[in-house]
Amino acid sequence: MIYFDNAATTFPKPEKITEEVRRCMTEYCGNPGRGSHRMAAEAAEKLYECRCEVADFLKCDCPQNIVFTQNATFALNLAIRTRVKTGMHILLSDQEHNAVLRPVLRLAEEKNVTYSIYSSYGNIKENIIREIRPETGMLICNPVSNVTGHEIPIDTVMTVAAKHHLYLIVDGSQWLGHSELPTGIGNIDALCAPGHKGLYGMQGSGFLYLRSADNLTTFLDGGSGSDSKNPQMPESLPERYEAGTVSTPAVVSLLEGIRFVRRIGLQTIGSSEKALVSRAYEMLSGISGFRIWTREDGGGSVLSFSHEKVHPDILCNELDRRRICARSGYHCAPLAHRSAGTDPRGTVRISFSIFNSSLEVDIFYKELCDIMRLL
Amino acid sequence: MAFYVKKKEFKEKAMARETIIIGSVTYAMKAKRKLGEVGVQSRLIKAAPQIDRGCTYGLEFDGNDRLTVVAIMRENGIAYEFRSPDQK
Repeated sequence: MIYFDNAATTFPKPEKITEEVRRCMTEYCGNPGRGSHRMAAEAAEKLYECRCEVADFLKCDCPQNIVFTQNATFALNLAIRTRVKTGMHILLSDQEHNAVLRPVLRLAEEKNVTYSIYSSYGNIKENIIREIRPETGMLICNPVSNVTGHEIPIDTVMTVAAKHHLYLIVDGSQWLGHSELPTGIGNIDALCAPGHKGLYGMQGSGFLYLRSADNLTTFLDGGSGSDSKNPQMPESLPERYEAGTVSTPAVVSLLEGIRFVRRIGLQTIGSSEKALVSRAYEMLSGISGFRIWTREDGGGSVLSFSHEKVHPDILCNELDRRRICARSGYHCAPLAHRSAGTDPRGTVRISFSIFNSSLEVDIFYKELCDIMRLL
Repeated sequence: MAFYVKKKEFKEKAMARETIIIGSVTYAMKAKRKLGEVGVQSRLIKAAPQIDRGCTYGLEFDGNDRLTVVAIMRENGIAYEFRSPDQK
């Protein structure tokens, strides 16, 4: 089988991760932050170890500001909903996933929030500044599109956010684990990430990095393991935003996943993925009727394409019959399709991880040519 | 007599342990790690606080390390309080 759907979730996972998750499940999976017996303490220790690893990975010195979530969607909802104020104006890029768009649309109904979508093409700085209003309080950015791999210069966005005092929320879903992180990443107010994509953790893992603890409201209320007689959630991070039991196996997988990525090196991973994107681009360019929606030197690890006559779903079904896993459709990002011009059918997306090879791309090309010959 | 001596030894040993109350398990773990970095061994415990706030975490350590513990807590900005020796 050839797995080219790594932007949805990476597969396979490194062996060390599955081994450690198994060890956690069989040896020390007590409830972290509830009891203080040795198993609960060991689980709590692992959680803290992971907070330190994430903080170090992000080059910030605040492990307690790492809030564990079950995915990036949860982290994004948490960041947006705890920060938004009634009547606030929000700026979001034209590359946002539904994990951003839907919460913002709901807030428009519930809290009289307004929003504008800035173009990620051309002069990004001017595009953002043009949309700023007196009531603008939040800027949301997806540095790497999950549809086309289109990149938004995060440095520029960080500068604009700082200058105009906008609360900056970044969706790191297709960014973290694929390329070197810029210095000053700690200046992002809220960075949301899944653990199960570029960081090779298991599904159900993710985190939210919060630059400051001065958040106003909670997102979910419940047990926090401490300050139990307080009718409100504790004020200190990360417990304020971690109601209920945190999944220790998921966190352990995230810990080992980040260690794996750092061991291999972000530069090595990024170059390997880009080389595969370039190879696939070159090959697909040679088949008539195909249009590629990713730039040849496009960022990220994804390549999107479509055929002028054959629907993306049909292509993906045929590829699956040949044991090649790719993804068709909208990739939960209608905004990105609208800006790229891939409405109304969407695209076929192939996406790579460090475990893919150029031989697999060659097989994919051969099979795709065969499919087109038969259709 | 032998029993008395043993009991006394046990009491002295128990008296040598000290407890600081921290609050959340995350900060208790942070403190544990920072103490570990300077060679102070500690153990995570559920610590009954002076003011009853419900579940609270703390660390138990050798009383001889008291000054180091205080220094490390201050250095890392970790809020803490010592549990009074007569508190059960």
